Amino acid sequence: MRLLSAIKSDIIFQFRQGFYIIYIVICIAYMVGLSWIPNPGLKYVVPLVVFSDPAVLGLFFIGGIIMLEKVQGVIQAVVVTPLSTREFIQSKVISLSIISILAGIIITRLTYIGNVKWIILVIALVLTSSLFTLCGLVIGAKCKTVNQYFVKIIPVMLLFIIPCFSIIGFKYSYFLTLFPSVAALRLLLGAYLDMGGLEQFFLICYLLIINYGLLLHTEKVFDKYVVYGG
Amino acid sequence: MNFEHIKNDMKQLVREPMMLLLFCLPMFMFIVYKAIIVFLIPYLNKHLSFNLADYYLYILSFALIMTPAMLGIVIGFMMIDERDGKIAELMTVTPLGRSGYLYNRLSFAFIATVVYTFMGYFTVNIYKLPLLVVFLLSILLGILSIILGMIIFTVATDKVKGLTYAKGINFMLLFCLSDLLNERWLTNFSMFFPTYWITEIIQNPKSIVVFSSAVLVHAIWLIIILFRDYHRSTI
Repeated sequence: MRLLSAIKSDIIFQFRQGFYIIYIVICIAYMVGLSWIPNPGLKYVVPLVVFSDPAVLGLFFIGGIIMLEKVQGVIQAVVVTPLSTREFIQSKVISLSIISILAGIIITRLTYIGNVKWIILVIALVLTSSLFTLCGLVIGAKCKTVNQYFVKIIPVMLLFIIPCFSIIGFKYSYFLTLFPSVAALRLLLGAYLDMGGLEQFFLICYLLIINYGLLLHTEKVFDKYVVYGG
Repeated sequence: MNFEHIKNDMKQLVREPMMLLLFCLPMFMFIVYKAIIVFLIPYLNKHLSFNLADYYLYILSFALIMTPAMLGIVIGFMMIDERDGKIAELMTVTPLGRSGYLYNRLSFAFIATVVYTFMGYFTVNIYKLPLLVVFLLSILLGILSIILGMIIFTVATDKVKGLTYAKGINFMLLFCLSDLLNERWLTNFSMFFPTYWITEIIQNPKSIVVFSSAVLVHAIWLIIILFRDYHRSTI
C-alpha cells in the first residue's frame, strides 16, 4: 500500500514536471523522423531508437530528481516515514519504467508495421529501464550537482553503450552479452526479430538477477550516502 | 573590455575538475567526429556502397551545433545549482548585480562557443567555407548557447524541469537536419528555430537573405527569452 502511494505521488510529480508531455513530443518527432526510413530498415532502427531513448530515460532524469529531492529536503522527510529505502527506490524505478513502457509502445505502434512480440517488448523495457534507473540512483546518490552527475554518467554510458556494437556480430561477440546493456538490447531486438524462446528466457533471467543485485547495491549506497550521509 | 569575470570563471573551472571536463567535452566530440569520418565513411562506402559525401554539410552543421547545446545546457544547470545554493542571490547583492551575474555566466558560454566553432570547423574539416562565414557562424552559435542556457535557467523552475527542457532542446537541435526529410511543412516549421538556419548558412554561405533571416530568428529568440527573464526574474 505504501509502495502504491509512493508510486502514485512519483507519477504525479513526473507529470507536473512535464515528463509525459515531453515524451508525447518526442514520440511525434520519432514518428516524423522514422517515416523517412524504408520499411526493411525499420525492424533494426525502431528497436535501437526504443533502446536509446525511452528505455534509458531513467538514467537521464533520475539524477535531477534525486538532486532536487536532496535540496528540497524531501529525502530527509521521507526517511522519518514508514517508507523503507527499498520502497523509495522501487517507487522511482517503477514510475519511470511506466513512462518507458508507454513511450516504447507508442513509438513502436506509430512507426513499425511488422510483427511485434508485445509481452517481450514490455518485459525488455521494464528490465532495461530499471537497470539504467538503478545505475542513475547509485551515481546520483554520490553527486551534489546536476553537472557533476552528467560527468559521472559518461563512463557508465560508455561502458554500457560501446559493447552494444557487438550485436553487429563478429567472432565471440556473443560473450559480450554478459554486459547487461547488451543482454537488454538483445532482448529488445528479440521483440521485433526472430529469437528463440530459450534465449529470451535466459536473457530475462539474467537481467532479473542483475536488476535484483543492483537493487541491493543501490539500497546500500543510498543508505550510506543519502539517508545517513545526506 | 573587462575580462576579469572570464578570468574568474576560468579559475572556477580549473578548481572544479567536473566543470573542466564538461567544458573540454566539445573538443573530444570533434575528435570522435573526425574518427567517424576517417574510419566509418570509407567502411560504409566499401561494404554498403553508401556515400555520405552528400551529407557532409549536415554532419558539419550538427557537429558545430552540439557545442552551444552542450555549453548552453551546462551553463544553464550551473546557474540553476547556484540559484538553489543561494549563490546567485548573493551575487545579485554584490556590485556585480543580477545582470552582471547573467552577463558573467553567459558571456563565458558565448566566448567558449566562438572558440570551439573554429576548432570544430578545422578539426572536422569536411566542408569548405569562407573564413568570414565561419566567424559569422561562430557568433550565431555563441548566441544560440546564450539562448539555450537562458531557456534552462529562466524557464525551468527546478533541476528536474531543467532536464525536461534539456530533453526538448536536444530535439530542437534536430531541426538542422529537417531538409533531409524533404517535407515542405517540416521545413517551414523548422524555419522558426535557430538550428535550421545554421545548416542553411553552411549550404548558402553567400546568401544575404539566408544570413539576414538567421540573424533575425536568433535575435527574436534572444529578445523573447531576455524579455521573459526581465519580467519573471528567477533570482
